[in-house]
Amino acid sequence: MSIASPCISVCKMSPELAQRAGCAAQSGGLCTGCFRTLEEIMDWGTATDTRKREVWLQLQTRAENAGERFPLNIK
Amino acid sequence: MTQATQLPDTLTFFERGWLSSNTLLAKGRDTVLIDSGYHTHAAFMGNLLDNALAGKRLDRLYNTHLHSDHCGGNAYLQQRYASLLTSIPADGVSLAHEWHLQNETYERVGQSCPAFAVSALHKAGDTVEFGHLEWQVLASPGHDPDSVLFFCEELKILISADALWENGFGVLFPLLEGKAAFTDQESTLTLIESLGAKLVIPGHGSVFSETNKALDTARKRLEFYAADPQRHITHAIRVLLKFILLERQTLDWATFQFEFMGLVAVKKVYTDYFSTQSGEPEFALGVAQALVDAKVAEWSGGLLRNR
Repeated sequence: MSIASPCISVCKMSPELAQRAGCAAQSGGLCTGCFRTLEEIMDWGTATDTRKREVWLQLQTRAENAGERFPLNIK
Repeated sequence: MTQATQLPDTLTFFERGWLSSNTLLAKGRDTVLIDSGYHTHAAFMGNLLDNALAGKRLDRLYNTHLHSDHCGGNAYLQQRYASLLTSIPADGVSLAHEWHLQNETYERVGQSCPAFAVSALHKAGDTVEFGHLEWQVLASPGHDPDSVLFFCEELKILISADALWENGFGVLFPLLEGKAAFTDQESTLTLIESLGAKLVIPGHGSVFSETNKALDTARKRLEFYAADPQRHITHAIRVLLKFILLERQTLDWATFQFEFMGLVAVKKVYTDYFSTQSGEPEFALGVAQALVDAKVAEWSGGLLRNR
């Protein structure tokens, strides 16, 4: 099986969240639902499993940095 | 050209979630989008396209079928790209027309779809071109009577929409209205098998290349449901609630109880199948609890919350 997408269907980009999460360089912001950058979202569909794992591992840290509850259901 | 085990450069695949369907962007003589997602994600769709189009305009939009998670972004994209041509499955015309008059889907299944203009039709037997590739339009009844597939013979790539996913297929909506759907879905799976697709781009979930494995999974599910249609009805009602939860993220009890049970499709299913077994509140609570048990929702401070 493929690695599940972190998308929880919020799909809204926030530059302010990127600031708080310590990803200020991401001018497009982070998604307020899955904490991914726009590039990570765009590339997800064709990313390798290794890359997908890398992205997954960063999400929790970003949420914690931003002081947000990590909403994702990690299976 | 060899048959594809990965997407050619002319196709950009956006894997989305369950509220918005996946979207495929094709670049060639012009730029073409297959499906547009759910309307609440329209601005996000704009973000994706701004990045991917790099200043180019969007020329054509095709819908695989007229469900709100696949065509909800149509109206927004038409505003954003003034010269955009929008093509829908030919048999969906009456439905699109209804959406101009009233938001019928909301009352029926609790989903919204802003009205959009239709500039062209595609139907089974047609050939369309995008991404420098030729695509056959094929009928795929089951999930929706008017849904179509796009198949590229040259690269053996199939755009399957909700007829086939890596791990199943979309809800067979005609069943909710008391119509037949199992044999339609079966014939659609048989058609897909005959194509010999090496790569499948589904309406939800990841792109996959093990088509026969996916077909096996889908057939087993279909047999399971066909043996007792109420199994699929139960599944469908849970999917409808999950969809509403995805849109709103949390639901309070009153909203959940009255709005969900007020939907035409839910009411009909309750009346047809469950009214002799339980009262409405008990039934509604059972649907919510099933989502909680499946770990796709949770109770939190008296609210049903998406997870």
